[in-house]
Amino acid sequence: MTDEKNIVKVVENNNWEEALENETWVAPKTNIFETDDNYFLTADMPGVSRDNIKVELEKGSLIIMGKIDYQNVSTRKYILRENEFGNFYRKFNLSDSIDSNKIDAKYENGQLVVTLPKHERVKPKNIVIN
Amino acid sequence: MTLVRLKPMREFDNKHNLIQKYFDDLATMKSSFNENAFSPKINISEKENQLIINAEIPGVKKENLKITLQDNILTIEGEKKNESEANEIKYLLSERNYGSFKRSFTLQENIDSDKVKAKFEDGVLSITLSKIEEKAPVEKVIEVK
Repeated sequence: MTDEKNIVKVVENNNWEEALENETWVAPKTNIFETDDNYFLTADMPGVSRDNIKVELEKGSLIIMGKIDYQNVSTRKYILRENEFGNFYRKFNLSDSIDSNKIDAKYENGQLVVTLPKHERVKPKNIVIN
Repeated sequence: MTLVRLKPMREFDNKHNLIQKYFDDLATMKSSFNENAFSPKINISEKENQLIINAEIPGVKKENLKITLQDNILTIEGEKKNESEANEIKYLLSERNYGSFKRSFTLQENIDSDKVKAKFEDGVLSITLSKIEEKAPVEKVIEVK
């Protein structure tokens, strides 16, 4: 079992470290729900382009990150501002019941969907009575 | 001490205004009472001769958005659908809201309604409005006859 891996391919020269230090980070609004076979995690990250999304597994935690066009957004001359802008960062602890080798992620229309498959052993089984 | 002309009904007027204000507030607060309703967060910024409206509408398809401009009123409407309507979902965490939304803005007179541009990218709807360039008033000399 690999403990650390990037699920979504990341463009490397994105200066994540620098952004983490100097820019504002907010937690994206997230839903988590389950089906018989999977857990699904959906997070709203409006304004983040596909190349600026990072989904990582680190020591049993799932980290989702998204970088917005911070420079552009922070220097606008605002007339009305309703959102709390910032890059997105959130960390979730994963339970043992998730098969971390099969985690998958996709991003569309500002919405990140992470599929977390359940281990075979925790899936509901029908036991046939002979 | 200042002298004020006696108006017996003044006290009542004040109370009436207070009550009216309370109801006005209620009307505007209505949408925030419904916690499950989705309402896009909107930013408006100004850049040179342009007014840029940015609305955060993550998880909605472009086809499900409608933008109209009528009588200087710009309206954005659409619907954010639930993750899966068919199956009954067992939520472990639910922070994101769903539902249809509609937001309207009254534009200033100096907006050129023929030059409205909209794009939808990464869950952000961006509407660019151009201001009509005001012509410098031409100086006119009136001859005295």
